[in-house]
Amino acid sequence: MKNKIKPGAVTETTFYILLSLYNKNHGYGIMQFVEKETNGRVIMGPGTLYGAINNLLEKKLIEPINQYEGNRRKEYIITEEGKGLVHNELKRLEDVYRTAIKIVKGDMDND
Amino acid sequence: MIKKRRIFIDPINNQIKWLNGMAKKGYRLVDVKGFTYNFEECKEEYIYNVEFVAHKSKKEIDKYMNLLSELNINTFIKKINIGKRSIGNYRWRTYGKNSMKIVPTGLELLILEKRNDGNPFELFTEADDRIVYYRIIRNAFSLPVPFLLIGTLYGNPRLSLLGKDYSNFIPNIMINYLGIFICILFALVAIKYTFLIRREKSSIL
Repeated sequence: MKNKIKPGAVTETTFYILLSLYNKNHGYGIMQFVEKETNGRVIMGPGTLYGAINNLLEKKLIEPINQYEGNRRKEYIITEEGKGLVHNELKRLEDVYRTAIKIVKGDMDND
Repeated sequence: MIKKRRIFIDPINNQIKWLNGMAKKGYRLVDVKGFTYNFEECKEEYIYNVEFVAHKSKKEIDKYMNLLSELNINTFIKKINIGKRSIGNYRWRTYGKNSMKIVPTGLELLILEKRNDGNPFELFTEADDRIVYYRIIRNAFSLPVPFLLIGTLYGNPRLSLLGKDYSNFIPNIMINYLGIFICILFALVAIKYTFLIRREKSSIL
C-alpha cells in the first residue's frame, strides 16, 4: 500500500479527528467533538485542523460526502482505511496502557 | 471610527500584539488597506491572530478561508512585500512549497478575528505544525537577504532609475543605507524564527 502509515505515527489530534468522523461531521463539529471529549484540554487551532483534514483526505483515510445545495459546510466521513488505522492505533495504545499500568500503578496509588 | 497607520518590523508577531492591544482598548478592526487600519469602537472584545500565507496558492487560501468562516473566524487580507521578485502581476517565489514557481501576486498575510471566548487563539496546536510554519517564515525572510545585499552593494541602486533625478532631495548613498537597513531587519526576523524553531524542537520529547 502506497500510503501505509507507520505505527505510532498518529498524533493525538489526528486520532481524535478520525474518531470524530465515525459519524459525518464538518470542520466546526470536529473541533467541538475534540474539545468536548478532552474536557477542553485540546482546543485545535484552525491551521492544525485545516492541515490535518487535508492530510487525511490526501491519504484517503477520510472522504468528503456529497453536500446538498445550500449547505456551504463541507462534511467528511471516515473511510474503511481510516477505520483500519484507528483499529491498529487502538491496539498500540492498549499495549502502551497495559505496560504503563503494570509498571507505574503502585507508584500512582502513593500519590 | 479611527484610522491608524502602522509598519511592523516583524509583520506577524508585532502585528498580533498591536491588534490585540487595540482590541483590549475596545476597538474592532473594520478594514485594512496597505499600512492603514480602520477601527470602530466595539462593546464585545475580539481576539486577533495573523497568519503568513504567502506560500499558499490562491485556491488553497480560498479553501482555508472557507473553513475559517465555518469556525466563525473572520478574515482580512493584508499584503506585504517580502522575498519576491515581481514582474507585473506575476512573481517568482523563493520559498515554500511553490518555490521556483511563477505564481500570481496577491495574498500575503491573513488577519484572523474571532470573539474572545477566554481561550487562547492559536493557529497551530501541534509542535510539528508550528515547526513547519516557522520554517516557511524563516526562509521567506532569510532568502531575500543575500539578493538584497548584493543588489545594494554592487548594483548601485539609485532613484534616478525611476526616470527622474532625485539626488538633490535624497542622496544616492541613502538608498544604500536603506538597503542595508532592510537586510538587517529581515535577518533579525529570520534569527527570531530560528530560535522559535529550536524552542519547539526542544519541547518535543
